[in-house]
Parts: sequence; C-alpha cells; structure tokens
Amino acid sequence: MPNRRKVNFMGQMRDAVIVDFEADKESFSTYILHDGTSLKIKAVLTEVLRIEGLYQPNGDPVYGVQAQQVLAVNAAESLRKKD
Amino acid sequence: MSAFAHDLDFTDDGRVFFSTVPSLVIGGEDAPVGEAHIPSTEESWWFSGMTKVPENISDVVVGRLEAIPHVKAVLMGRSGEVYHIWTMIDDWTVSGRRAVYAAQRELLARLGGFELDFYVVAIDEGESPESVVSDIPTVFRRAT
Repeated sequence: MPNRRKVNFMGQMRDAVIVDFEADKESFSTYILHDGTSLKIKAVLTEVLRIEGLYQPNGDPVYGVQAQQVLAVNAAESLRKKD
Repeated sequence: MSAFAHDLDFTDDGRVFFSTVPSLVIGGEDAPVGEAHIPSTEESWWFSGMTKVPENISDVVVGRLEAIPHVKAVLMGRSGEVYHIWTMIDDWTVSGRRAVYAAQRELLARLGGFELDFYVVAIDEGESPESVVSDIPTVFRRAT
C-alpha cells in the first residue's frame, strides 16, 4: 500500500502518493555576480509527491517536491568587511 | 561569519523557483567557502509543469472555444494575475476571426474580474501548436 497524503494544489486539497527517491546528481548551479562575487546554489529534495489524477498536457503526471536550498557565497575581496 | 539569506522568489510560474525556504549562507573573510541549511519552517511545494490555471477557468474557456469548428487548439497559461489564452485557428479569414472574437467577448463577460489576454494565431495543417507558442500548456487540441 503506497504512502499517501493530501496536498494543497492551487487551493484544492488533492490526493497524492509519496514517492521515495535517491539522489542521482546533485550539483550546484554557479553564478558570477556583477559585483565580483561568485555564488553557488542547489536544491536538496526532502519529499516528493505524485498528484493523483492530474497530468500535464504531454501526459506526464504532476509532481510536487519540497526542497531545501543551499546557498554558498564567495564574496569579492573588495566587498568583505575590513577589520 | 554567517548570515541568513532572504527568501528567493525567482518566478511564480511553477517551474523553477525557490520560495520561503530560508537558507544559511556562510562566507566572509574569516571563514572558508561553505554551505549549510536549516529546516524549512513551513510547507512550500514546487509543482512540475506550468499548471497554474485552475481547471474550472480553463474548462470555461475551452468549452466556449471548442464550439468553433475552425479552432484547432487552445493554449492557456497564467503569469501573475493575467491568464494568457492562445487560440489556434485554421481559417485566417474575416469570418473565422470574428467567430473567435465573439467567443472572446463572451468569455470576458462570463469571467468578469479575471484579467484575460487573448491571442489568435493561424496554424497550418499538421503544424504543432506548441511549435508556435512554447511553455504554455495546451488545454484543448481538436482530434484529427
């Protein structure tokens, strides 16, 4: 029996199946800010649901995820607080 | 040295965005570049696809437009408070366009209070609606 729960989707409580998962690739996206700082960010999934009876136009079911964001900053030397 | 970052709301279209999940930033002169995170304090879901259009509104739109034989497809997406509706027709004539415009006026009257943004596009036979407008879900496609 799959693990189920209700989830609020667009104001409606929908039935959803909790889907187990494992990380395949979990890389950072990296950005260079115009102030000289480099920034790395990634999402780490904590829960995945597949909403029952709801599909995208291409036929894929609609998934919902919860994730933590991880943000790492390497500030430009000129922006760092000087003692 | 560390500080909490503010929420990041990159977009509200249900595709790629981070929202209301606090993140801990570590950086600064005295600390190596690092990473950390703290648990979310509220439930915030990201859903796949651009599926922000409530089904009842798209049903009303499709129900009216599909009654026009020249309408081959309807695509509908939401951006902020605006519902964008693309109507694909195979008859780019005055009569064909007038039929669609009449349906649009009816929808504007029926869905008063909603901000609707209409587009009418002619497509060739065999042409995919998604090739004309990308990233907006197809809510109606006439069977061939």
